[in-house]
Amino acid sequence: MIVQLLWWVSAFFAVVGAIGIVRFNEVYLRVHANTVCTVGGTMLLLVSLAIQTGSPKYLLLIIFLAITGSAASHIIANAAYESGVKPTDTFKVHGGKDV
Amino acid sequence: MIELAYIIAIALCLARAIFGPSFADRVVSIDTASALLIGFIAYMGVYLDLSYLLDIAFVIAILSFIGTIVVSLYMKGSLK
Repeated sequence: MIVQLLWWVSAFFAVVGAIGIVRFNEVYLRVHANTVCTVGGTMLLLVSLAIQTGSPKYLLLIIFLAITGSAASHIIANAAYESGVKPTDTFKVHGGKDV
Repeated sequence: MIELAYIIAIALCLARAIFGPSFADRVVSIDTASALLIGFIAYMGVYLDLSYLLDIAFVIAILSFIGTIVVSLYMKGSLK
């Protein structure tokens, strides 16, 4: 029962994150949608599979994704900033520094 | 039904990887598609009762992380 509920919630987050990847207008907002897909979609689905099967290998994969997902998001945003992709006016509205 | 939602999400990410305007957009889209592919393969391993698909999900996680790091360093210009 709760496993199927977690399946539907993770499918919802996966589709919403993919729509965010398509619809957002710059790189730094797409990194946010990437985190929605990774945490809300994949890690929640792996939690439900760990509950259903009772195997500890799913928890190992969840820990690995929690470490590497944040590191990959950080290095993508850092490389985009260093290679000259300028943030749009979205950051100025919310108090970010002018570039 | 869950696998259909994941296929639609991966197809949307790959469409952004094809039509992405800049290089960093493609890197983010491919990383998101591989993260969704890990969950899809792990789910199909339970759905089809094939336990070795979880090991394939581990290998895809490691390779996509290394690929993202290397392509980001190349985009940054620090990889000579």
